[in-house]
Amino acid sequence: MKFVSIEMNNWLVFRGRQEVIFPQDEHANILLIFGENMHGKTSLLNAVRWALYGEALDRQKRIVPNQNLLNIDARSDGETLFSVNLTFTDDEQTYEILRTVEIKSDKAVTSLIFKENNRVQDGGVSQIKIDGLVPQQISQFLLFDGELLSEFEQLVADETGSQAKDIKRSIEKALGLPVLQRAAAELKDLQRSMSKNWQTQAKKNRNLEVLIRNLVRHESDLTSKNTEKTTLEDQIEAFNFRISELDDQMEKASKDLGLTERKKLLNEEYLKNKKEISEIEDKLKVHIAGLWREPLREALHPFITKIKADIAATSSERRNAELAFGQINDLEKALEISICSQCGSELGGVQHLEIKAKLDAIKSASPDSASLNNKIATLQAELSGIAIDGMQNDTSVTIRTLTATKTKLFRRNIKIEDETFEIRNDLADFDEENGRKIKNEYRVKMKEVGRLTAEILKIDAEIEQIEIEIKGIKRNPDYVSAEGEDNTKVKLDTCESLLTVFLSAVSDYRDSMRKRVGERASDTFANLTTETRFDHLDINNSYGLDLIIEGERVARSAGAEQIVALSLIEALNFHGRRKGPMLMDTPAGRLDKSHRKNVMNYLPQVVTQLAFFAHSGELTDDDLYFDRSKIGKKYKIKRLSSFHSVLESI
Amino acid sequence: MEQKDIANIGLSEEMHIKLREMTDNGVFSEMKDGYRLAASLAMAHHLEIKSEPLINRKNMYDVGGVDENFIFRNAIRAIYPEQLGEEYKCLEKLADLGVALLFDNYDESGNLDVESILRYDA
Repeated sequence: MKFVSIEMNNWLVFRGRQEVIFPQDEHANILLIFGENMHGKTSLLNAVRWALYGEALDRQKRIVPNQNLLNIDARSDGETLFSVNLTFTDDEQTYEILRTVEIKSDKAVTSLIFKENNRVQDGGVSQIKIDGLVPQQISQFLLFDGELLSEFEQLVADETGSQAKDIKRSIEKALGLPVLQRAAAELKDLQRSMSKNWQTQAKKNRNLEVLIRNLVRHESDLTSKNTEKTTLEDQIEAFNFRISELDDQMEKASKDLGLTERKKLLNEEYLKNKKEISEIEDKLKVHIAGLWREPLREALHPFITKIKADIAATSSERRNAELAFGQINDLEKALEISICSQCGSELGGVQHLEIKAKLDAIKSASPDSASLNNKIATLQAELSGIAIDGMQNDTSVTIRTLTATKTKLFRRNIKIEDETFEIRNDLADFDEENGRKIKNEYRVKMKEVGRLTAEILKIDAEIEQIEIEIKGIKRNPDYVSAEGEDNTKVKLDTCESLLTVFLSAVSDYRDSMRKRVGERASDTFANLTTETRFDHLDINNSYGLDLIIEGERVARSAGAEQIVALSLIEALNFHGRRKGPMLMDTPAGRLDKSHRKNVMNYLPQVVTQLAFFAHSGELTDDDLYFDRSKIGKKYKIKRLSSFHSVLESI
Repeated sequence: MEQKDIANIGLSEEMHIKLREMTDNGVFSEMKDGYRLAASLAMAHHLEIKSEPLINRKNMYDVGGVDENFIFRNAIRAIYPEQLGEEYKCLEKLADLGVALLFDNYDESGNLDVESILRYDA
């Protein structure tokens, strides 16, 4: 950061508009402002401070009220406005601060205009932005009064004093520690809040213990069931893998087993047919054994018919003979008693003769009955001789039926034999036992998959029930509050752990920074001092620096105090968050010429700009102690009256 | 006349072989059943009885064993009255003719074509 210019209007002793232009050349970065005591050197330093922070400090570091900052002559002339306009650059950006106060009835009305690259920024955030660019806490290491340096160092050397603590706080602000400390404080607040919540929650519902016990049990069951389910699923996967392997083998095995089964059925049918054929053949033999009767009957049929006809005719003839025999008897009886057998009248001689003639005619015409009987007997004997015993009319039909059935069965068995032969060929390379093993394994695996699937469904139902139980517990108001408690405890534990780590880190950072500040101050002191036996500066917890010479802690002179203070300020400036200019009022103070020379030559090297506000007792244009080429600008404060000073460029 | 007839009946050698084969192939339980059927068929078919004796005749049964009730003798007397007294000589000739008929209607499966053998030409 570099200052570009500062313009003051009716600012303290400076009447009207007065302007200082800061050097911008990094090799000629020294600004010298000569001014005797009471001419306005401190007012100029305060102008910078007031522009930046709206505060002007007196020698006792007290804030000067704005009403007292208006130039007294200007006030006497009735003017009510005073202002300071500071322009600076940082990181290639140009900033301008115009702070104005109007005094109205002893009341100061302040206005602030802040521009970034000539663009006016929102007034509400202007001061925040300025603090971001040039933090107020580091201003005392940019803008300081050299006459107070030794006092400053004495303050920090006393670790127990309240002012030392204030300065230490300021130093640590410059080092960026407050950000970390604020974060730590917020963490502490959070930790306290969480601890309180935890204690409140912990006192709640005694049912919590029971709920949690049940919850733990259910969750354990759930884990167990899920594990069991996973195991079963793994088993199913393994079985399915094996089943897919068996599928390919199954197709062939099933076909072959089907053929085997077919062969078996065919064989059974074959044997059954064979048995039936055998039975038919037995029946056929029986029937064929009696079949001879049918053709014999056929052969004898005409003879039997004829014999039967002869018997019938002979029988008829015999009946006629028997009738004739009756007539003969009647006629013979009528002749014997001479009475008509029909009308009962007595027979005459003629009649007698007629009857006798009729009787003779009948007797001559009538065959011999005995011979007829003999003939019939003979014919019947013949018929009986050719009578066929055990004749069955349907023998041939039965034989044909049985033969047809036998033939059908026989042909069927031939087909069976053919098919069996083909099956046997197809099964030539078939290992039936292995095929059955594959089929059995497939069936067993499928059955097992079914069983495991059923088990998984059962477990799913159990898991669902357990999850319902768990949900029930988690919806229980006691648990809901307990869950909060649990979270609070976790948060509390986390917060406490974080706080412990954070505090430790902050402490480490502070120690590290303090060590680095001490080392930097030692280096700076070595460059500034004329003490050849100087060893180092030993920094304490309040950033106080003890002078160590040849290993011994030694008492410091007034001049040494100022050098130590300068060394500390330079170190803080170096390690601070932003490197910038250094403005020193009365810089030489109590320094001897040698130390003045060292200071004047060393400091320009470690700051962006170095401004010395010096009186004639410290520096004169003829006695500057340092390389004049490094001087970028020179001004002289000329006092026109007690309340009227002006700046002249020289 | 009866003294001229025979007490044992048989077949020619050829027909004996054929009847044996058919019996062995299950057409008949025993040759006697085939013998009776052959004789009956010869009578039914009115096969002509040859006067020549059977060639290489093989004696097989006594007549009582085949014609237990003399049905064949009586039938021959009725049908072939000219054979009176030599009924059994006639019978074996008829049987010899009948065996040939049977064998012609027999297949190697052991089946007898009953329908054919019982179909009588007018």
